[in-house]
Amino acid sequence: MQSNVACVSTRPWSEVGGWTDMRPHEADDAAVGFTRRCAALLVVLPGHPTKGPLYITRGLVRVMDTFPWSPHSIAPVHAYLALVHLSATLAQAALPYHVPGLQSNDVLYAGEPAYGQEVRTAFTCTSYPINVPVNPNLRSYQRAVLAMNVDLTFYLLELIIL
Amino acid sequence: MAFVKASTAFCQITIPSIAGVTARLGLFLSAAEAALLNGLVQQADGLVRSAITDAQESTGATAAGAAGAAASRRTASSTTFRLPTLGP
Repeated sequence: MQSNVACVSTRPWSEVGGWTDMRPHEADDAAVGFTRRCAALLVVLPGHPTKGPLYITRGLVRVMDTFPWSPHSIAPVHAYLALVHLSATLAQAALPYHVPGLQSNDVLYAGEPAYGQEVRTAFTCTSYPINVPVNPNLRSYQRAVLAMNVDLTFYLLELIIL
Repeated sequence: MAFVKASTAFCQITIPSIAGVTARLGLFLSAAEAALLNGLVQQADGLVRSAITDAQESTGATAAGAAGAAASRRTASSTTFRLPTLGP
């Protein structure tokens, strides 16, 4: 006789369930990776017809604004720089890449001054990570400043090239 | 196209049942990319919105996770709330 045995998962219940269940630096790195990947997708994602062209982008900015970053971490700097890259990309007249057969925001809102104003206001954060690298550990502080300088240099180079 | 729509709907329904937040978010974005590449704009929009809402709501400790030590190292509030701009 064939017995009906319930399928029981062997995975332990102590697996990660939320950001605070992870180690702080792992959560920060995962959040930065999510921000970068989400920002890359939001470049081509068309805006909402009634809620605005940057409806989803505002949500991502709000998530990064309220994320429980671990203290003395440079991860929020990287996350905010990803948002800066996204804002610089969305402000261009022609987006750098498209999905074939899909009209992105550069086509849908081409030439509208309200769209430019929306891009400028969507990336306003209430808390800036300027105080994050302040750390009594000098090595960590130096690494934070170095990473921020490198990323800002690349960003300025992008602006000059464009 | 029907297969893509069905697969996208399956992903949207089943991904929230995954325990790991990083796996959930990665799968949400992968499904959104697949939907967008197949021209399913509304589904892609919903998947990205689900990912962002999930990232927002996962700031609190869950009952299944080992939240004690990690949560004590956090300085920000772990109160969970919905995004006001991403409501249904």
